[in-house]
Amino acid sequence: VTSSVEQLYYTWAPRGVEGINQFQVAAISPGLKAGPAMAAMPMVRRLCRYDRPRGQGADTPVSFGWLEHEGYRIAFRRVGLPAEMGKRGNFAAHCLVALTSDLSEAAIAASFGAPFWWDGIKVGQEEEPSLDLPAIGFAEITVEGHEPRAEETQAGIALAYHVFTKPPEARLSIAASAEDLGRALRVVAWLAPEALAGLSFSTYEGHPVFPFDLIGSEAPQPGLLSCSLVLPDDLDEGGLLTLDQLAKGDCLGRAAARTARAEGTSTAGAIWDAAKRIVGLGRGEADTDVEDLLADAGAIGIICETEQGRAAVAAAAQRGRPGVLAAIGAAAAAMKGGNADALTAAIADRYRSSSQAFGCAAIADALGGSRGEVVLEAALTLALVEEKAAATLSAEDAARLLARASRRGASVAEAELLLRGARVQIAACAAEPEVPTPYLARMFVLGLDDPFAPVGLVAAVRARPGLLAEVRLDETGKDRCFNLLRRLDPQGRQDLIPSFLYELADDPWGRGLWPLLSSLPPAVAARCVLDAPRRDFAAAPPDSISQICDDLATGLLSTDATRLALQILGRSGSKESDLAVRLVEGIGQRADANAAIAIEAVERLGRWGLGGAVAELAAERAVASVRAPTDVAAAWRALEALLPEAGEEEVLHRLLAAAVRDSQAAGAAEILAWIAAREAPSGSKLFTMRGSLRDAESDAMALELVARTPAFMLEQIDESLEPSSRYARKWWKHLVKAREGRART
Amino acid sequence: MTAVRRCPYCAEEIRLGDCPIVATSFTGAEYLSSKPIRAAQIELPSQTKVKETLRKTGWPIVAEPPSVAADKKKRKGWGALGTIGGSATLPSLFDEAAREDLPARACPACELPLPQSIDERPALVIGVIGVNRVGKTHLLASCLTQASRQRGLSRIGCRDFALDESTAKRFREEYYEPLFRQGEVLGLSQASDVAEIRFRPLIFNATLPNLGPVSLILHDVAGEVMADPRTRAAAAPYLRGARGIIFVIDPREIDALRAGLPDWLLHSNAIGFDQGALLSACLRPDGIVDRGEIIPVAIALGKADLLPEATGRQFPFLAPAPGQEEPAAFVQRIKQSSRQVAAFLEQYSAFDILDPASEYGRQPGSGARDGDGKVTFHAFSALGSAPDSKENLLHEVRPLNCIDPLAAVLAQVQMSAR
Repeated sequence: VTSSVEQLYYTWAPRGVEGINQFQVAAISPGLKAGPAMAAMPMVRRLCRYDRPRGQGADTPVSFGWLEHEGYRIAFRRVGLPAEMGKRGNFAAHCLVALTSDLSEAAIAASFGAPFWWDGIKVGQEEEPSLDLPAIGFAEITVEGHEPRAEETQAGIALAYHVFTKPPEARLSIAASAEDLGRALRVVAWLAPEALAGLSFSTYEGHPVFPFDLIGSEAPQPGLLSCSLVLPDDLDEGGLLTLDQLAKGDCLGRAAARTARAEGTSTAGAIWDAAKRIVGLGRGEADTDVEDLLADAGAIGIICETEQGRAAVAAAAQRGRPGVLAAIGAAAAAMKGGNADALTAAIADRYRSSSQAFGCAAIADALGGSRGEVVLEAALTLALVEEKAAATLSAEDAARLLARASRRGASVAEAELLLRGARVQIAACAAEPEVPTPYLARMFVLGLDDPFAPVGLVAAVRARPGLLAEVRLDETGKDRCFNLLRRLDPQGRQDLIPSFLYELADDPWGRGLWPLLSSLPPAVAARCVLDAPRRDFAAAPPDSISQICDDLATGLLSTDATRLALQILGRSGSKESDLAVRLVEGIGQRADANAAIAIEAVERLGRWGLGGAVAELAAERAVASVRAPTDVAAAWRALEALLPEAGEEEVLHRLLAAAVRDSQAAGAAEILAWIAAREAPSGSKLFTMRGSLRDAESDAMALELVARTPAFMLEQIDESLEPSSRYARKWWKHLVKAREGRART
Repeated sequence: MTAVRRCPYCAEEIRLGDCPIVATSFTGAEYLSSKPIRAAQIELPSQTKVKETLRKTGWPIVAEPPSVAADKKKRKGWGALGTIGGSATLPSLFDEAAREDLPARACPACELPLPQSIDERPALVIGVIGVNRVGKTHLLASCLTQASRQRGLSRIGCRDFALDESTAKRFREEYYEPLFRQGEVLGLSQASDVAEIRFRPLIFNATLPNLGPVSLILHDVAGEVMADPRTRAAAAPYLRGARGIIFVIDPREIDALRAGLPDWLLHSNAIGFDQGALLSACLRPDGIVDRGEIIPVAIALGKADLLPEATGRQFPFLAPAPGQEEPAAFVQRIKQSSRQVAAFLEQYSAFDILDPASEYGRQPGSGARDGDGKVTFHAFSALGSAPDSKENLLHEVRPLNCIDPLAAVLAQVQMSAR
């Protein structure tokens, strides 16, 4: 890969690389002899020719240009040499070869007339020229552009126009002398270098060997479009103004090229279109793809030179496409002070005159500094007096404007319209430390009415946990809040319920709280209750809260979350809760010692009565911990105590049901034995004369339990069992028989 | 269908029926050698869609070779079509392709489009050889102008000598107009693109007594190309098909003459190659033009106007030939002047020229008989006088005996045809 420019001289030379006294390579750089650039040599050799114009005497126009071949750009300058010393028709060619990516068309064009181009071997030159040329650095062939003179500009602009408007596949013959064309080319390289991209060019071709895209020619060429270095008479106004702008040398070409490239094409035609649109926008013309034009800072700089242009930029800025804003920021930074201030004023005016405050933060960021402040101030002024404008604010806008309003000292009431409009952006505002909590509290209340607000409200509460402490709800507010809680997903409920639990404890909302909480996992729901701030610790909890606590505790006990159950029961004000607390404490502390002790605790407490759920729990606990028939007796008594209204049959049913539910219960046989041997006053009433339990469900459950019981255990019990009655004996035998029958099958 | 020709570009023997037909008129045709065009992108004037291009040269094929087409027809049972008396005839180019596309048969070997006249006229290639700066271009300009405008070849019985359409414009613009109308010395021939050298010959149509109608084909090639064996091999394969050779030599390369020539002339117009070596390379048995037969060679001493100045003597072979002369008189004159020029070369020790020529003349079949035969010697001056150091002609262009080398070669070609 070459990183410099290889070069070659070709002429009729008395001594050269290829021999003596012949047309030959007179000197060559190493890379063309034995480097990668050798790939370009066949084309370089073809270029080493010069055909003089017919019948024009000594006139030998310069053939200057370039073409691309095999990834290399070959620049050339070929001149006819004066007829002398037997070498009429002699010429000198100087070719430069570099990778296309390294040597741009514009760089070559700018070098027209530069002194480094070789003019051939001077007649009478005494010093024998070297056959070796050095590869030269890009710096050596880079010609600093300079502003063209007025008379050159005109021709250059005309050439730029023809290049820009050339149909993509067409080739152009430019009626001009090679010298004029070269100078015009240099101007194009200065004003609109992008126009030359991808083209091949020659200021003069005497014999068509290469299909150059553009050639200079005194006469029209067949198959080529003809033009000259003057502009066509019928050029439209937009085109003229575009060319004027180009002639000013303020980088319109570059901006247009970048715009065209961003739009996906880099042809000269596309660049011209973009340039015209840029200029058109500056003149107030509508453009359907204005955002594309304004994605380039250079284009913005040009557009902002006119009032209409600035208005168009301001409108686009407010629409706020990120690329456009970045470009506006860059353009403003690069603009002369007056223009940048004028653009800022145009944007501020836009906020004053429109009903939209959207995008102000992004614009302020893009403009930066004091200009950004001006824009924010204009947007705030609008948003404070026009709710509709405030409603258009983005999250970032709202946060910035509220912070700004706070700094301005605006009270909640003064900022009401802004807060109302921006209420949907509460989450972003809550994340901005400069936005005061009272603003957020007001936004929260206002947001309760908004069907789209829930997520934002929850996020705001998460971002600013203290926010809800300042929220005061009236009846309507409570209604909305309750509705909000119902609309929230579980996570949202979890976040908000603690704050509003006591606020909504009164009916009619209190009744609805349990369904909300029961939609959460018990432990989560319990946390909600525990996290709810109690406003008055001295007062008894509202009934609805107590009920919730009792219900939650029951659920928790069933999942063994005894500690949490105790905590939650602590928040309850019901009597049953007190009993439950003690029950659970008894179970929790001593469950590992002896189930009977726990059951006793249940028994002792049973006379005050607990809810049916607690009884079920006790039954299950008892069943799970039975080791001997005495344990069963304790459990029975506890259940009787817990269920004072229930008859023996119901107690028996619960006991058996609990045993059946717990497949791991170890004491099924003990339960059955105890039932058979029970010396209860009404014991015999449990059995029918046929030797079955009166309650058919209970009887079926007993059969299921006996089927689970190992045979040896039944035998042990059978040996020592003293049934309470003959009906009990009969039932027992029936059970044993059923067990045996089941075992056989 | 079986007409056989020799390709004027690569010298291969080809059957016209085997030549694919290509279009030569379309946008970009002139750039084919530097920028090939894909078949789909070629737009022919007739709007015919191009499906294929020739692999090496890129010319668009508009019809397959007639022999291939005939085979297909035969397979389909149309064998009787296109035949006369049982033998196939070669369909006209314009039966096969649209006239506006300027169709041409392409040589199957080198894939270059052949002159349109090749159907009717065999190509007769005459090689013009010489190192650079000897005056080949000027010789061609003067000789062919005399042949076409002044019936210069009537002395060998040639009729209808005319520029082929493909050459007329170029010959006028690049040769005749500058030299005879503008009075300018012609420029140096450039050692340009190889493909272009082969493909841009000067073509003249003529009718010769024993050969009938022929296309006379002459290539004007830069001496640099001709004298360097590497470039010559690539650019001038047509020499192997040449029926005659004109070898131009420069008196400034004859050492014994140099002392009498002005310094500026010696230094300004220097030659880069050894003309004796080139002649030897041409004429040796396995040389440049060897094709298994002895062909006529005219060794033409150019810039003959310098000889009196260089030697201080006048020479009979410098007398201008008469404008018109009978064939017998012409032959007589040529024989005489050939001996005189050979003697002159011997006198001035130009053995590097004489020796290869003698060797060639001694080969069996050269027709060498008492010093004359297939090798003839000539002296000519294309301009009539030397230009000054600024390349300006001081006198009107008055070509001297420029037609003789070509006439001598053609005369021998047609004599051998008899």
